[in-house]
Amino acid sequence: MQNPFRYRVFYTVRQKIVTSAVALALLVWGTVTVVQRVTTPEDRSCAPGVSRPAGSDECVGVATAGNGYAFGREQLKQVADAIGRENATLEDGRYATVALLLPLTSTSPGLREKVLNELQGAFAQQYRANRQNNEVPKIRLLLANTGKDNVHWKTAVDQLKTMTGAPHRLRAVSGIATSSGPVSRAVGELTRAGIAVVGTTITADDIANGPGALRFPGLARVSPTNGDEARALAHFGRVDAAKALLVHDTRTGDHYTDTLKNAFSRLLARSPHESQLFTSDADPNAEGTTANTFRRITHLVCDAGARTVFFAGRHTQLRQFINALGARGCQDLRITVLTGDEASYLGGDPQLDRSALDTGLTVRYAALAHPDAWRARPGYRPPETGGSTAAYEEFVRTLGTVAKAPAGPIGRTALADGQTIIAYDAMATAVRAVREATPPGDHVPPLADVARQWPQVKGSLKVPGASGWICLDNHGNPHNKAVPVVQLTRGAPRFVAMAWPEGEPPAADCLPPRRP
Amino acid sequence: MDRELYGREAVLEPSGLAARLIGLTPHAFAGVRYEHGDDPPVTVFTGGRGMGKTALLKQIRNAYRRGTPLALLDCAHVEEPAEHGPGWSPVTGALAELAVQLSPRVLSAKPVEFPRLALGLAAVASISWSQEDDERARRDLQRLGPVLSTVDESRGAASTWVGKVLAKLAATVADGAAPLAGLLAEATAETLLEDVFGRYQRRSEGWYGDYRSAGGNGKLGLRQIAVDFSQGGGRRADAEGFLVGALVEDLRRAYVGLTRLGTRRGRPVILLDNAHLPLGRRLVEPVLRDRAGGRRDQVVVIASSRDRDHEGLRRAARLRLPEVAHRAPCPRGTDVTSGVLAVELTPLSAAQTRSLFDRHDPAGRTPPELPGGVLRLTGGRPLGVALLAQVVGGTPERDRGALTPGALLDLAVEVREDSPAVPVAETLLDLLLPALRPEEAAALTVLAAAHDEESARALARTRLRAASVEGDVALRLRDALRADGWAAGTARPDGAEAAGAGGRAGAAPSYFVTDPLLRVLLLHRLRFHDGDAPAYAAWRAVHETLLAHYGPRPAPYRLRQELALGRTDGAVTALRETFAGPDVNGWLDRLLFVTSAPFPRDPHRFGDDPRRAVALGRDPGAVGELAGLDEGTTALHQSVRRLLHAVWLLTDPLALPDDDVVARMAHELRELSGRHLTGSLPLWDAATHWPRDIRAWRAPSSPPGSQDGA
Repeated sequence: MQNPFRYRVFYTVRQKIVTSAVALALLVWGTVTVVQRVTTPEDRSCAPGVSRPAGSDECVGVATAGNGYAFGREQLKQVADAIGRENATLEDGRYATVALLLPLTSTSPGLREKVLNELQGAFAQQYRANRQNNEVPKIRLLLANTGKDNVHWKTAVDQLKTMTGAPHRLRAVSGIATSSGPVSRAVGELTRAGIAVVGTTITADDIANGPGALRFPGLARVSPTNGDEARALAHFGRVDAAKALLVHDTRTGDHYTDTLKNAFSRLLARSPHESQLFTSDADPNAEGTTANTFRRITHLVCDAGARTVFFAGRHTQLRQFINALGARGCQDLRITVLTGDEASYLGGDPQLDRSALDTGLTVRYAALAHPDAWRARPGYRPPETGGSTAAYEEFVRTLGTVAKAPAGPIGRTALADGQTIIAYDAMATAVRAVREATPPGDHVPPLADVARQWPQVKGSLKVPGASGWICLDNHGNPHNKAVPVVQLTRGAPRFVAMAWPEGEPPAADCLPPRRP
Repeated sequence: MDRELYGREAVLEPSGLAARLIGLTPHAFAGVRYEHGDDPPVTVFTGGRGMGKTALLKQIRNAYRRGTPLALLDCAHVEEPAEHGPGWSPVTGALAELAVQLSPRVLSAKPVEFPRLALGLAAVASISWSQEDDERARRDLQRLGPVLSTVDESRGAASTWVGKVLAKLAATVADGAAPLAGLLAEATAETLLEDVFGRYQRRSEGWYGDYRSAGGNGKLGLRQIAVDFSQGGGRRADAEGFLVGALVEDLRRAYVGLTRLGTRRGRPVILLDNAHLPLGRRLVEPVLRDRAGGRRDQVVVIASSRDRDHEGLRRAARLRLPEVAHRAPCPRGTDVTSGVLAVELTPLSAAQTRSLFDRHDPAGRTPPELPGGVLRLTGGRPLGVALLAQVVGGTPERDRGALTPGALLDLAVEVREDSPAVPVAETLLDLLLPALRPEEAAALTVLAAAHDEESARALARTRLRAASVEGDVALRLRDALRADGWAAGTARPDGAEAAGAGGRAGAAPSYFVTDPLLRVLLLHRLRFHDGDAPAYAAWRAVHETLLAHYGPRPAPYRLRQELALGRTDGAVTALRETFAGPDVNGWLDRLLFVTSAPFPRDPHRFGDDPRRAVALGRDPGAVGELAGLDEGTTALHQSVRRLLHAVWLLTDPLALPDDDVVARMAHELRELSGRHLTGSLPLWDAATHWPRDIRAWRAPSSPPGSQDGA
C-alpha cells in the first residue's frame, strides 16, 4: 500500500479505462486549447473599427459604431456619450457623416484639454445643425483617433477613406487641430481621396493651399494662417522694427514654427538685431535643455534693449522663455512678447511662472478665438463687420443647451482658449458645404461635390461663425479673418483688441479681392 | 502482528505460489499472471504440529487483507451457538462466518453481496421453528443478521424483517397441514425477498431452481433444500453442498456482470485451517466436485491439513514447499481429488535457523553452535525454532554465552506482552500437544521413557495403574498421538531382544514417542515437573521400572537405563568386556545405543557439562573399583569410559558439541583401533567419520561413513 491514491484511480481495469479516458480527454482539450491560443492572433481590437496597432497600447482608428466609445479616456466619456446619443437618433440613410480626426489619446494636459474642447464645440454644432429647420442631410459625428503625436494617422485615414459609401456616407473630415508633418500627410491623403477636410486650429501656412500650389484640393480652414496672424500682429502693434527681436526655433519640420518664423522674419526684415535661435527637442512637448538656452537669450534681449520680442516656437519653449524673462536682469525694461496662437496652451500650464507677468513683461498673442471678442461690454464695441455678436450669442446658447440633459452632459466647458469656438465654426463650415452640395430632393450629397463648395463660401454664403465671419478664398483659406489679440494674465487670458490681417475689418460683402 | 516467516518464501514472495494463485502480489497488490489459468487448484499445506501451517495461513491473510475478499476459518473452532436447533450445522455456521469475512469492501471495489447464501441459510434455519417457540425463531433470525447485512447493510441490520417473518410464521402454521419445513422455508424466503432484497437481488432466488427436483423454480428449490436439510444424512450433505455452491456463486457474481466487470483484481481467497477435519472436507468437497464437473469459480481455496495421507488427498498433485516457488503444476485428472495441490511444508534449514537467531540476537553473543544445536533438537520445526530463538532474545546478554539447547528449555519466555513469562519446555509441549487432556499428558510423560509398545505397556502396568481402568493406557495414548499426526509406538524390530547381547540393535533406537523433540520435552517434564531436585523421584522411579523390565542381563537396553539413572560403570564395564569381540561394528552400534540415553541433568545449569570433564580425562572416576585388573585392562577401561562420555555428550540433543571433546573422541577411537586385534578398520573409520557427522549435526553413522555419501 505504498501509494493509496493509486488504488483509487488506477488499479482495476475499469479504473484504468476511466482514468485513461479522462486523462486523454484532458490532454486533447489542453492541446487544442494551446494550439488555438498559439495560432489565433491576439485580439487587439478595442471597439468596432478601433484596435491597438502592433507595438502600441493605444486604441486608434475610427469608432465606426458612433455609439459613444471614448477611446478609454475618462474625460471624453461624457461628450462621446452625448455624441453617441445624438447619432442614435438619426434615421438610417438620411445622414451624412463628418469625422473628427484628432489625437484623442494624447497624454499632455494641454492637448487633452484641447481635444475635449474640440469635441464639445463640434458636438454643439452637430446638435444645432440637426435641429436647424429640418434641413437635410442630418449630420452624424464620428471620432477618429490618430494616437499620441498623430503617430498612427495612417490607420485612421485609411479607414476613413473606405467609409464614403453606405452606411457611413462620410462626406467631410474636421478636427485637424495641430500643425505637424503627420497631420499634413493625413490631410494630403484625405484630400487626394476626394474627401472634404475642414481644419480647425491648424495655422501653418503650408498646410494650406496658395496661389499656384493646390496641394490639398478640398481643404478649407477656419483659422487664419500663421502669415495672416503675423500680419495682424504687425498691424496691431505697429512695431518699431529697430527695437524688435526675433527668437525662433531652428528645428525644421514643424509647420507652425516654420511658417510663423517666416512671417515674423518678413516683418522684421529691417531689424538691426540678429535673430536668436534655440533648438527644441524632437518631441516639442519635451522639456529638453532649452531652458538654459533661454536664460542666455534673456541676457542678449536685455543687452539689445529690445522692447518687442517676436517668438516663433511651441508652447513648451514659450513657457520656458517667459519663465526665463521673468528672472531677467533688466527688470526695468518693459518687454512685450508677441507670438502665435500656441500661447493659448499656457493658460492652463501649471509650470508657467505667473509672477513673471508682473515684472513689466507682457505676453500677447494672436488667438484663434476669444469669448470676449464678439461680446459688447462697457468700453468695447465689437466691430460692425467681420463677425457678429448675434452669431456668438447663438453659440453660447447652443453650448448651454448641449451642456445639460437631455443632450448633455458633455463635461466641463472652457471657452478661454477658443478651441470650442473654432471647432464649432469648423463644423458649421463642414455642415454648410455638405448641405449646399446636396441636390434638392436628395438626402446625401455626392462625395466630390462637397469639396467643390469651398470657393462659394463667401459673400452672402459666408459662414457667420462665432469667432468671426468665415469667407473662404479660392484656396480655401479664410479671408481677412478676425484675429483677437490676447494677453496672458495670471488668470484667464485677457482680450486686448481685435486685429485684422488686412489692417481693417472686411467689408460687409466679405468678398476677397482678386489676387494675381 | 506481521511477523516475518522464515523459509516460506516459496509461498509468500511476490512471484510465489500465493501470488500466482490469487493473481496479486502480497501487500502491494500488483498484478501477477495466474499460473493455473481459470482452474486454480485447491491448495493444501500439509505438515505436522508446529510446522507453521497456521502461521502461514495467517501470513497469507495479513498479506492480502484489504486487497481482495478474504476469509480465514479454523475448521477446528467453529463456534457452536447456544441452543441451536436442527437448523444449524457446522457447515452453515462456517458458511455464515466465511460470508461475513469475505464481504467487506476491498481496494476500489464494493462489498461482496451474498443474497443466494443468505436465502439458503434462512431457508434451512427455518426447519426448527414452531409456533410455540418463536423465541428460537427470533434467535435464529438474528443470527442470520450479519449475512443479511451483506445483502443490504441497513435493512439487514435493522431487524424489522424479523417481526414480519415471525408474523408470517404464525399465519402459515395456523392454516397448514403440509410438510412444515418446506412451507416455512418458502415463507421466510419470501419475506426476506420483499423486505431485505433490492430489485436486482431478488433474481438470486432463481439459483435454487437448479436444486434437486426443483425444476427451475427457485421457491420449490428453497423448499426442497430445507426439507433435505431436516432429513439429515446424505440428503443434508447434498443440501450443505448446495449451500457451499451458493457461497461460491455469490463470490463469482461479484466478478462478472456489466456493472461489476473490471472493478476487481485478483481472486477471492478462502483460507481453511485444519481442513483435515470433517468440516473442512464438507466445505472443500462440493467445490472440488463442481470443479471436476467443469464449473469454473475462480475462488482460491488454501487449506492446511495435519494429515499428510488424508484420503481427500489421494490423487492430489504432491509437491514439497521449495518446489512450488516458481511452478506448481497441478494437472487435472479424472479423479475429483486431482484438483488438489498438496504442498508439504518442509522444516527450516540451518541457514534459516541461523538468520532467525540472528534476528533475536543481533550481537551474536550466543555460542555459534547454538542454532545448529536447536535445529538438531527441533528437527527444524518452525514452532520450536521460533520459540527457542525468542527465548534467546529474552535472555540477559551476559548469560547468552553459556546457552545450550537444554538450558533454553529450562528458561522462561514471555510469549505475550501482557502475561508473565512461562516455562519454555511446558509452553512448547502445550503448543505441540494442544489436544491432550492433563491426565493424558501426565501419562504420556511417563511413557515417553519407554522404547516401544511393550515397554510402554509394562510402564503403564506398573506406574499408571490408576489410569488403566479404561483400557490399556499405552495403546490409548498411542492412538491419540497418531490421531494428532505424531508417529508413536513403533514395534520393536524382531530379534532385538536376542541381539541385545551380541547382535546389532541398530544405531537408531526406537521409542514409544518417536518424535525426538516431543520425547525430549516429555522427558524434560518427567525429570523437572515435580520440582523435587535433587531427588527426581518420578524420573528415578520410571527408569528403575524400565531397568527392572529389561532384566538383569547387561543388554544395551538395560545399560541405557543405567545411564539415564546416572550410573555409567556398568556400561563401561560391559563395553570393555565385549570390546575384544570380532563384531566391532556391533560394538560401535551398542556404544551409540547406550549413549542415546537421556542425560540426568540438573536444572538451570550453565557452563560445563560434567560429561566433558570425564571425556577429556580430567575425572578418572572411582579408580578403586578397578583394583583387580591388570594395567592394560585398566587403560582400556579408562579409554572406553572417556569414549562413552564423549559420545554421550556429543550426541545429546540438549548439549552443544565441543571441538576439544570431538578431537578427544577421535583420539580415543584411533587408540582403540590400535588395541583391537582384528577390527581396527571400523574403529579407524569411526575416528574419521564421526567427527564429521557431529559437526554436520548428524547422528554418528553406523557403520562409520555409511551416511556421508562416501
